[in-house]
Amino acid sequence: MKNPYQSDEFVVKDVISESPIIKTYVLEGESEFSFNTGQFVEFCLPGFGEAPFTPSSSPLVKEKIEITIMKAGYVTEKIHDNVVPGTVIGLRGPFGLGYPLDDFKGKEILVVGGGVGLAPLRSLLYSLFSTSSNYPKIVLKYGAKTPSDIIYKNEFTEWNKIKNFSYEITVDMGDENWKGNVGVVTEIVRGGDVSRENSVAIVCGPPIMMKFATFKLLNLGFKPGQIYLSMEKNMSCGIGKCGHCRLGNHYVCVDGPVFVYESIKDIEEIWD
Amino acid sequence: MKIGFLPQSKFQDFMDRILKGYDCYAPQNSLEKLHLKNVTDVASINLFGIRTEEPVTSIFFPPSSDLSFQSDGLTRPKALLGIKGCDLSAIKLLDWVFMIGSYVDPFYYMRRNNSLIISTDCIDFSESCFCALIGEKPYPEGGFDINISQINDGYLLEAGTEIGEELFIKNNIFEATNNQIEERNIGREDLKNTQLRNLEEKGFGFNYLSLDYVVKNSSQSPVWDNESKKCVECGACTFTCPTCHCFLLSTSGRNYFSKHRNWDSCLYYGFARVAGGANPRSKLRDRLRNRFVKKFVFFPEVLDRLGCTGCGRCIDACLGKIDIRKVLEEVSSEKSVSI
Repeated sequence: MKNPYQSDEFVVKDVISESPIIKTYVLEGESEFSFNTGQFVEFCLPGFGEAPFTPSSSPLVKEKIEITIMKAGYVTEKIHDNVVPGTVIGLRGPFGLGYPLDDFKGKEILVVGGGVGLAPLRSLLYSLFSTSSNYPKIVLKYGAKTPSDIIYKNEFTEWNKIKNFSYEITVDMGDENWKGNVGVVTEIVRGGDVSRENSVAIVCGPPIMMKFATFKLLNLGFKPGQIYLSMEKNMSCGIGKCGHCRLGNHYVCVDGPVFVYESIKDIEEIWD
Repeated sequence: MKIGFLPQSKFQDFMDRILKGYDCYAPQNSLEKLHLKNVTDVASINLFGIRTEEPVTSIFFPPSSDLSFQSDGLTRPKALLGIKGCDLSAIKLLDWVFMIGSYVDPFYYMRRNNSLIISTDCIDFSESCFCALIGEKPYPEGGFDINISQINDGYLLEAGTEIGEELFIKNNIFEATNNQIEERNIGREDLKNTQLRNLEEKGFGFNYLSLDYVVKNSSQSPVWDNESKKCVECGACTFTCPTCHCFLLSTSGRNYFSKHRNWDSCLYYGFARVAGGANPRSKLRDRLRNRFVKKFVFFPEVLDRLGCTGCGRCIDACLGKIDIRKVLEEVSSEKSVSI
């Protein structure tokens, strides 16, 4: 019997600074690591603890895995402070269900991200790009607090070369060099972005942003069955035993973290 | 043969023989309470008292343990004696949590596997017992290898598994007569009714079949505001509960990347909090209610049963004297008024 609580060792190959409080860790294990885009892993820093993250790298790349981490709490602060190239960390997983890519086939895709919520979405975008002919249109709307909080800055130009992809960025607060949109991400989500009937919208970001993005999408005429949300809960064991991430009748670690809004819309406390 | 009779004179010998080779856990009197203890001398145990202070499920899911296959005693066969109906029901629930579904918890499984369960009927109830009110019974109906009932001049043994039946054959247990079974059944029914009457005198008479509905629709109820004023967030209700299964992982195992787990409590402020500080249940009234939602909404909806067995341990343990029966009574009567 395998021990589901035991982490496998991974070596940190590189640490990329994405913003003042966000870093991407490039990890390499002893053997290949497979996951479906949207599934999550438990990143373990011995002596400090474990926390759940959805990889930000492409699931097609098996020999290394990238995890983008914002300094937001105890474990993430310790990761930022202590993990450097060469550090050995632990990973468990992958856990949960990823994005149902098969259900997205043939549809226009609207991706709405906020802050570090772009991390799992980057992994999703890589997956979508790898079979981009399956999707007539892929539109990304991304919001960050300030221009310096925008992550994966160098990749947008590269992504822009993909034929059916377009993106738009907004910041809550600009600076002297910022010429782009200022305002919350819901302001750049518009009715004409994708076809209302033949599309899905995928949202990932902080709870408040997910809430208002969902309401905006509903206002624009999207059906609850078309909206996919990444629910951020306190996933700890990853296998539906420890109880921390219960959301209504679901354990987010097993049934999520990606949920179609239709399946969770009547649950209390989903936005808290 | 499913039900056998064992005369009083042969009981001790029978117990000694069937328990050979097992690591035995049984109720033992200590300071006027019954505690679940690891025992070597079967003569020192009390099989027919009420349920023990400790939840029986703690044998398979210890309060604190290393999640390592090298842990001591993980696979040693265990015999649990004197287990009551409420706790058998709780074991059934934890079996589902830890062993059924997409993932098996190997540590629960290894402790649980090969265990011999010898249950006993209740012959009395405590002031906090309320199994009969919650749809359970003060006697086991399944989940045991052998159940023992006291009757005149001896004991009725009921085999619940093939293992139990084999033990009957090996030990030349005679089949019980219909009269003996009838005697047992009458005693059982009497005890159940006495318990229900006792609860009724205390003012408890809610309908357990509607608890899922009333608790689900109670989010705005002042009951949670009022009751949570008495809660000191000690977690005792969750730590004495035989169906509570939540735990906290930490990384301080023997091996660098192995884990350790401790029981956790959903009453604690940080239970559902995530990095960055978002907390779906930052208010104590919501955390208190959440405990009820898990037991009276979640389990009925996913497993078609209540997550409470009526053992009443949480009532005894609560420093603030929160009585789960009173809470259920109040939310139930509130709902029936508003319908």
